Amino acid sequence: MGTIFVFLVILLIAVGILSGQHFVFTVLYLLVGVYLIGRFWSTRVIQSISFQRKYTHHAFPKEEIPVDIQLVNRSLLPAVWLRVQDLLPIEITINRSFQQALTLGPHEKVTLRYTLTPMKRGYYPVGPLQLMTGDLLGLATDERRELKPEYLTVYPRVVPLTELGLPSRSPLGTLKHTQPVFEDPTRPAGKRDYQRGDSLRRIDWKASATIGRLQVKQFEPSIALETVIFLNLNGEEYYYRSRVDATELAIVVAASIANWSIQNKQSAGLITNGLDPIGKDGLAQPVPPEKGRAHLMRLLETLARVKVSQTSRAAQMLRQHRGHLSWGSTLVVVTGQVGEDLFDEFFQAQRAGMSIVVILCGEATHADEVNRRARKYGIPVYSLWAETDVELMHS
Amino acid sequence: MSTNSNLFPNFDDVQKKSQTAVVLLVVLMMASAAVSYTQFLQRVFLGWKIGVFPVFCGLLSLEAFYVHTKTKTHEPRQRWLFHIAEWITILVLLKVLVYVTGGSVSFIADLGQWENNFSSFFTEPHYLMTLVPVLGIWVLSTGFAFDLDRLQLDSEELYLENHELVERDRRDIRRRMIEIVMFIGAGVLLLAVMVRTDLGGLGQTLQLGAAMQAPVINVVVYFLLALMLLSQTQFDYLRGSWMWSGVPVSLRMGWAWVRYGLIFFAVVALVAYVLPTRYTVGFLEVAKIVLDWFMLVAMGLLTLIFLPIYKLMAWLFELFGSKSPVEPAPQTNLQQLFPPANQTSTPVPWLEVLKSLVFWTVFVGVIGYFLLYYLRQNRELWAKLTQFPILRWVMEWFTGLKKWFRAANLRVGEAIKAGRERLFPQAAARMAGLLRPGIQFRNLNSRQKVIFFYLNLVQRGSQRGVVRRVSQTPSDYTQNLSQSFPEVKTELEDLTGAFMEARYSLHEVNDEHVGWVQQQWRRVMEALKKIGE
Repeated sequence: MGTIFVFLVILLIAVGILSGQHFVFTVLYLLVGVYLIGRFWSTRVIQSISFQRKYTHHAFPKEEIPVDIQLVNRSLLPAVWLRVQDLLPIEITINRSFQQALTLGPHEKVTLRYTLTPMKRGYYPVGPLQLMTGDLLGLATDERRELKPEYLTVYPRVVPLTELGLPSRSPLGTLKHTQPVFEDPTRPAGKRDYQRGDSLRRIDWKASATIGRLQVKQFEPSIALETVIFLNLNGEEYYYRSRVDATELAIVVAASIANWSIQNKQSAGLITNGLDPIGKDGLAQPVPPEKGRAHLMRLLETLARVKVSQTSRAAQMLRQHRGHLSWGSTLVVVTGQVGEDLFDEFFQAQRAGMSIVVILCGEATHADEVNRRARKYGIPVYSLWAETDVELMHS
Repeated sequence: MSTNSNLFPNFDDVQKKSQTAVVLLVVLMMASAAVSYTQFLQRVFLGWKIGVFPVFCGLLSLEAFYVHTKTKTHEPRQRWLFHIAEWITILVLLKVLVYVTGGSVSFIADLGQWENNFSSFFTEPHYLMTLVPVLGIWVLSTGFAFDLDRLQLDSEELYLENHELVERDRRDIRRRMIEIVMFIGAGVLLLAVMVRTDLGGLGQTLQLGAAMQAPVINVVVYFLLALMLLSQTQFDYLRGSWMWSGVPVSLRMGWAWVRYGLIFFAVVALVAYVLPTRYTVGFLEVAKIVLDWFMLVAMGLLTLIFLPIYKLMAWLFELFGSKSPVEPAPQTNLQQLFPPANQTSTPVPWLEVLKSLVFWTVFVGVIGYFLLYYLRQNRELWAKLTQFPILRWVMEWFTGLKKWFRAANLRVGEAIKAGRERLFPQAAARMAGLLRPGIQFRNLNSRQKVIFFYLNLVQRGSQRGVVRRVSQTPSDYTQNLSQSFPEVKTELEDLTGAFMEARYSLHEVNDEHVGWVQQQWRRVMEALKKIGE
């Protein structure tokens, strides 16, 4: 439209000058006025519109998250047409974007709503939100404004574990244990007659006086479980055919174990060699073992963001962090394969007083060999193919 | 606070209103343009008075829109016949208009003249000068109607566009409309300026009258209406692009566009009216001198460039003894453009009577037939006219003639069709032209629509790897397709049957049948799409 418009304006000027007819200038004012006023209008309006996006920034898979986009026109000029577009990744919505064309009157406030339904864990950008408007004739270029993207953290699926049965060498914890060597004096379980060899400190003198025979106190054995989850996200250490599913399964397993530990008032930590989009140098930072629901959310957030990498191997990761862990900790190594180098690290960790549990996710090559060697070291190994297998894990 | 979540909720309503508004704007624009032309003619022909000419032009523009709507589903042959009938009606009406405003004396004088020289019917200067803009307005209005049709989008066309069955670039259509509107605007403006300006030598050459202080409000109105039209086409363009992208549109946008548009144009018009133009005379005079100097320099430069060439050519022609081809152009007189008055000759009585008889029979017959044809296409008008007793009698008289014409027409049509099929056995291949880019599905008639669906099936089937060989009949090809897509075997057979019926039989194809065929076609497309994915 620009060229013909300019041509007409030039023609009007030329004719106006040559003919001296004043009405030509009225027409000229009309055309130029339409362009200038139209442009001023659209520029002014777009600057006067304030907009914000409101939604819950954390969610679980398949949870419906309503997103409200609030638009307020703070000007006296109306926005005759306004196109709103919020770009969205396909993993959190069926449509690639939310779009709406609307009119916004003077000082009008409009709330647009759409719903996100994330299908898998991840850290997804919501936006950028683009606003576009223009003049009534399409003479001037359309005006645009943009709101930077915000992020939605979708936690990994958490599978409830009724009993995981992770080994621990740290006594005086809060979990029941079958070995009496880990009896907890704060958890009395009953009394029995004195037997030779019983410690005198365990004799219940009041009960003995009442019954007339020596009675000793019995305690529930318990363990303190400080779990550190070593999540191997080195893609090369998973069987290539099931790499994508297996790594996702590994993340679900890690999340489920962390959840189980925290629910049971134990401390849990996470160390992974995966990538984290907001981590330092793009690498996921280790999360030291702690208790509490807030800590669990921190773990789940890290697990939501991590991505498969091709950087360090699991053995290297274990070697790097083993020295910082306390004696008696349980290392839950979630990986796709266990190689010679990793077994060496397990052996070293056991010598340092740590318990090892290996969880193999997806299809593992040489699984029999791994099981045979693990039995030799006394390391329990669980092989999981799908998320439902997690619930079947028992010691 | 409100929530907008409706996807095209009032689409048809907005579409109709928008279309009506656009048609009205174009009609008024054409009438405004005709005002300038009328004023110009009044200056050229001093006695020229057709005050209702702008109204005639407005009505003609409206008629062009109406005819476009009526004939867009017609077969090309039918459409051409209709347009011929329409134009004969327009020519006659225009002539009547000229005589009604010019007086009956000239009519009687011209009546005898047509007998000797029928071309004078068209070449009479007054008539010719009114015919030219009428033709222009009709062509432009029809063009606008066609472009507006293509610019607007309905849900059916959206479906076809999404499935890549039809393609159109709305931006180009709109750009063309803008160019035409601006071009007409420039013409209107120049005419208005010529009417009001003393053209000096040029005016004397063209034998123009003195400059007139004719009103120019129509020029301003034209541009205002043109801007409104462009605003409305922008809305149509945006709406089409939003629909195409699946963007839901707010329920109240149509009305808001009109309301805010009117306010906007009122403000702009007020600004243009309030802004002064008179005190700039000094500037204008200076600018004119500068421009004159500029023109003088430009002419001087051109003379310097072309003078040696001219001299060289003249010298060469003189050298070879010929006259130079560069002769000064003879002065043309406007009246020389028109044929001279009728010449006297010695008539042969019986021959003259025969000639007169043949002339008037053909003349009245042709006009009558096409008038009837035109009225038959406009049933509502026809129904009203037949309420008059005289016309009822004429109608009865014509009924017999009509029957004869119809029978003759049918026979001739069949003969032409049979001949055409013999001459062009590849008619089916020509039918494939239905799939050309830019075809308007909704403009096809029912039979063409059925054929269209089948041809599209063949095209899509070929894209999916089941190519139709030249030697294959539709049934053979359907068998091939059914083997690849057994889940839609029934639909394929139905579609092929419908195509063969539409293509090779004279059975009537109605809209219901088209709807049913479209359903079958959609199912087949979905099956093909699944394979494609």
